[in-house]
Amino acid sequence: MKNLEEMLKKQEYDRIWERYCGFLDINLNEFMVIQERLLMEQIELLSRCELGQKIMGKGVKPTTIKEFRDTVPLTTYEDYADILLNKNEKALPSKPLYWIKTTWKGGTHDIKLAPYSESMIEEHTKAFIASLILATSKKRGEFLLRENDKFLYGMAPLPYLTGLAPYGVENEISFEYLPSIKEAEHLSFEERNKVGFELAMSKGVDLFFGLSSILVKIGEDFVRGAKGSSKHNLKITNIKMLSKLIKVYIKRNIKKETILPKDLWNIKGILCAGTDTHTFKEKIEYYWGKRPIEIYGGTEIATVATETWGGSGLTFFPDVNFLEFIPEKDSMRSIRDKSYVPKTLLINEIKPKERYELVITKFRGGAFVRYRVGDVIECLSLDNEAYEINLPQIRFVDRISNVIDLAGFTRITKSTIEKALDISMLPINEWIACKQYEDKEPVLHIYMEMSDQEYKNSNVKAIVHEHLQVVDSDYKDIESLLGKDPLRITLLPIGAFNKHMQKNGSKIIKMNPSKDSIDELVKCS
Amino acid sequence: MGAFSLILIPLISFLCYSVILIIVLGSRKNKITLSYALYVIAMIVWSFGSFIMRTNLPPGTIFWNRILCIGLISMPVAFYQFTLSLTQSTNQRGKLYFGYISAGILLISNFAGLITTDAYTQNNVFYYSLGPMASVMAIWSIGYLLLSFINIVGNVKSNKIPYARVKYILFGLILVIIGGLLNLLPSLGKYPLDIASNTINALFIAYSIYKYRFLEIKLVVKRGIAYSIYTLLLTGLYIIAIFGVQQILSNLMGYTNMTTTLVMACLLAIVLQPIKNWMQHWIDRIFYKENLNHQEILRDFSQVINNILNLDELTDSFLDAIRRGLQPQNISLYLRQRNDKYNLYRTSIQEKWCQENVYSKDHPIVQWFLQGRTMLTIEEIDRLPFFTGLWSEEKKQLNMLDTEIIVPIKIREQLIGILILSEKKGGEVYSQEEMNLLMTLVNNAAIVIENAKMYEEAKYQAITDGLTKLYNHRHFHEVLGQIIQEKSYEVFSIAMIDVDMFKLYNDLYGHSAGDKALEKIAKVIKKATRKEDFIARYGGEEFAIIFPNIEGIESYKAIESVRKAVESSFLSNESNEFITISIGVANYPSDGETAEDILERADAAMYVAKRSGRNQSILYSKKDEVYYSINNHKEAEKMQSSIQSAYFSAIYALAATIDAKDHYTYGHSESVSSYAAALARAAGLAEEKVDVVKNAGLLHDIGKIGIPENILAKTSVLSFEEYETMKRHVDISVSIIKHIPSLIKVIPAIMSHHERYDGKGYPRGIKGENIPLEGRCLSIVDAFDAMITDRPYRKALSVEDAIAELKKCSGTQFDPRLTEIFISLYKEGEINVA
Repeated sequence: MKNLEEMLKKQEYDRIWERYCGFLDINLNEFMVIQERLLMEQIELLSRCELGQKIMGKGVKPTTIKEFRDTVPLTTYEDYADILLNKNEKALPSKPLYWIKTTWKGGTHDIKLAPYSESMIEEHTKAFIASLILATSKKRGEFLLRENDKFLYGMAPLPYLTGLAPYGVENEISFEYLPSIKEAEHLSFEERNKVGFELAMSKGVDLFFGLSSILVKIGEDFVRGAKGSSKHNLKITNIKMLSKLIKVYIKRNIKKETILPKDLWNIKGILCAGTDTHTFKEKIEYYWGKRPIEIYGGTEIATVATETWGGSGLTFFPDVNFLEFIPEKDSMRSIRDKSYVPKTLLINEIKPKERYELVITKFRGGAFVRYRVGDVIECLSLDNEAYEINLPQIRFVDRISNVIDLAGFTRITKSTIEKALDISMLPINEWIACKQYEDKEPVLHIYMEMSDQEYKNSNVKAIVHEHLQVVDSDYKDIESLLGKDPLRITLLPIGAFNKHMQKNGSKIIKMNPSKDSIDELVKCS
Repeated sequence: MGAFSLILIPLISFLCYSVILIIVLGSRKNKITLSYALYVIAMIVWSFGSFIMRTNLPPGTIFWNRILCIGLISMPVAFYQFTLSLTQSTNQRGKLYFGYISAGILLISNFAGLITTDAYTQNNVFYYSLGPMASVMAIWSIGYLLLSFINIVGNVKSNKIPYARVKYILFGLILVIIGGLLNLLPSLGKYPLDIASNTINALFIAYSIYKYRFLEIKLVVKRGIAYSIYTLLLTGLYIIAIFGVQQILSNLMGYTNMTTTLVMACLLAIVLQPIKNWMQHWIDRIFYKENLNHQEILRDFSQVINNILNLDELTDSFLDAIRRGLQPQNISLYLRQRNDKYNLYRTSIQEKWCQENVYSKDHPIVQWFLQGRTMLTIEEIDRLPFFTGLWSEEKKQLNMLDTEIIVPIKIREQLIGILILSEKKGGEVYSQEEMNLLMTLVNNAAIVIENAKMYEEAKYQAITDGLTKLYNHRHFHEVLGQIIQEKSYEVFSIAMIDVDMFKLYNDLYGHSAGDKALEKIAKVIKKATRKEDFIARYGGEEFAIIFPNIEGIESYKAIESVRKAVESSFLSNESNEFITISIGVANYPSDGETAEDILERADAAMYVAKRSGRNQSILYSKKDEVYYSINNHKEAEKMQSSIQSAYFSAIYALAATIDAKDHYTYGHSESVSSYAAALARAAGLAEEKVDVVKNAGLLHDIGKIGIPENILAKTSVLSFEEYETMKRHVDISVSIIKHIPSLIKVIPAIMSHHERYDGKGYPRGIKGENIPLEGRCLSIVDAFDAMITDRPYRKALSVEDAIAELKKCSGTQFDPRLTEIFISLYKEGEINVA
């Protein structure tokens, strides 16, 4: 079978589109046929292994989607921890080729591991390539992706999921990675991005994959550098670069205009991931001249959905996970009441403008079954008529309400904040925390009531910030890599929380309470 | 080399390249075809220049020589670009660009007279003197040809391109390089050896295109084009021949005129006729050879399908015809089974219908064809979203079969089979002619395969039991007779199997469940025996097995493993569906030499197993025979009876114990027994059935012996778990009673006395008339007695209240007709409430 590179060389563009992006042509019924068939394969594999028997029950082998949802319980990572964290390969539905790692904030262990079988990697690669093709396309069937494109790959290497794609992709197409994958593995996240952009300065860049927040930061730094005295270290390696450089010179020195990265590079496609990507899209387009395509995925779930050239939302891949959705209110109820078992909907049952917690069952021999990912998505519409996509269009909203994810860098839980406040030795009576947006950028806002009113807001903020950096290194990266201050503190007078409780009859929830509740709390002060 | 041939070689070369250019330009355009076309154009310019140069046509030899040099200079770099496209190399663009720039410089040098300073033709022999850039050009040309060679060899070495596909191009290239090197020798350089080698190279490339289609050129060369080309070649040859002969005559005679020319032309036409026929023959051989073979294959296959009705022979012939016609490496045939599944069908092995390689109706490939689509390629399966739902295992199977194309076998709209072909043996792509042959064969085969399958099906049904899919009684006797008559085995054993208490099972669970049980037993037996063992359903609940080549203790071991397999398969079942088998086995020839004798003895052994308590395996021996002859049936039954009587007493004692344990008023079971008997009698049951109901009443709660006393004695409402435990007493009752043959008849009543008329009862949730009548009687009287009795958790109701409650629940919990009868009985004073 020909790989992508061979197809590109033979200019088989229609076939390439059909192979990788053909899923955009199917309708919801066809989507469900694929979902059901692959679920049956997965049930078959699960029924033969220890993990499957543990999750589904011994001898349980559902034969329909209904039976599967009726008999198999919803799960969380705790249900898999003993098998997966011990890398018990014999207990799995299929032999893993890679163990992908992520942090487990608020979990019983520091990390989570997810096994990836050969078939899963194939599907993951196919989905990733589809997203790359879509990132370089302006309309259906037309795309600019080519072999040997210069690829600025600003994501974490293996064993993180973002590091898996280059290994799968190398069998399909050659890219010139900036820096090379082997070299990148020995560099820190910060160094990798820095070296990558230095190389891009001399060689140019066609593709970018990374955190949207990083791309904005680089854009901002570039503008600062261009305005300031420091010159960009540009090297002329080809005629194209020379013409660009002349244009930049005219813009800067004659027209006296600010130079943006887009003046220097013609990026074919930008692929972005991470929470809050939607808030950064406009800035990225401003700096880089190209609207990024958002890709949604995760360690346990692989690549779940991708944005298309249409930009009206993300479309789920039909062959990566079996998808179920818990309506947001049921999801919230289940967080409050642990004994409550929420019912799920299928993709052909979700409604526009509604939010849902995602539940997946991994296909192709994956480990996770009816797994509560902890992500909230919103169904934007049931199709995209203008672009002839007849599948639900969704948006990744955020993590579920008890986790605060900041720009894809960190996941702050109740225990993270408790720990930081604890070691800060501040005399805090009560606190709540929530995620808010300032100038379209996410911040962590902590409202606190202190027993000692002598403390100044700025002092408290500095102390809390320092201790959050101590307990959460990812939080620290926000400042060191993005140069942002993500913390806001509001000090409330003594008794504010009590007043609020008396008024409402119950305590305000600690993590991400509603905006109305926060307003009410502030009014109580 | 004669002057004539010096003109002829470039002319032939020119004609060959022109033909190739026509083909290439008429094909699909892509990078490779375009770069190949460039190379061919360069060669056309070269050969044209070379040809005209030697004819002394104006403006003069030196002009045509420079035209020739344009082709000569362009060729190496164009060929290099062609090899880069062919091998999909993208890392040598620098060398390519340098090639074009330097070619440009050389072209300028050419017209500046730096390559050939002077050229003239004398007696058709070409003479020339070289300029200072000539040697540079020669080295440069050879350099680029070597680069092309290295590029191809490098790609072959790294397995990026198969050697077989480029070998002719490599041979051609070597010739071109040698031809080019010969130019460096002035004595040979005046002859067009380089152009001759290039012509051969062009032919090699054309052949590669034809054979391997690596250029994806539509090489379904139309007959018209082929004949046009050959006519062009022939005309060229004819003109050259006339021209040559005319010159020879002119040299010999010193003059020529129109008459001699015409005579000569006629003579040549006659002489050339065999050459024309020969060329036509070879064109047919090259381009239409397949067609000739295909006609032969079709004729042979037609003869076969008219004479064969055997599925194996037919499919063998079908696949053989495809092998001959298309020469695939592998070929696989899937045929539709009775269950609408498509199994891989292999005639070469015993298990023809492969159970591991099965396509169900929802398989995407099956769905694709069922939706009226035609052929499918592996590339389409990989590309189209329709096949996204393929299982990884299914993809692997397709890869294992080296799948290249998949063809449906259809009759009208019905898909009766699927044919999977791998790549051709030589690695070539299937031609349109081959596909046409395949479709013709498939269409012809479809109806005969279906007929053969129907015939096989009829044969199969005639010897198979419809329910268990085992052989039937008649076929068992046929096979046994044949084995004995033909003395197929020196020794063998016959086992007779009877399902224990199967009538009771049917009564309890219904005939549908009984059928399912028989199906399951058949499967278990099949699994527990060897492939060579012959298994048949002998009668209703009887099975028979022929075990070839074993006897004595080995045959006992064989039947014991069968018995154990059946026992454990039903034992592991969570419901109380008890099923066991009794087996007797006898050996040939030691226990009998005729079918009747040996069957009778196996049957006798089986009866011994039955009478020894069932669920046993017995090997026939003389001792058993003695047992039967001495102890007649009556005596045996007497012995059984005394054993059962002892059990019976014990059971009644147990029932009384339960009454005490359950804290019921002493005698609940007796009351239920007496009320139930009265109700059953009034409902019109025969006296024998009334006895059954009476006994069932006594024993209905016997299973409570297995329920913890704290649950039985609980004064508050039972929790969900406790209630679930309590419900188990019905199953426990059955487990106890099933071991006492004379009490087996009460099991249906006991098993169903907690079922409700509306189907909401337990253990099975059956409803209405599906609940045995005896059970429906017990249900009413059990509830009635419970209501009028003090229980640990409540006081007794009055009889009137209990009657009112019965009425209230009539039609939901209780059978309305029986409830009415019971209430009438009470009113008539037939029910004595203590």
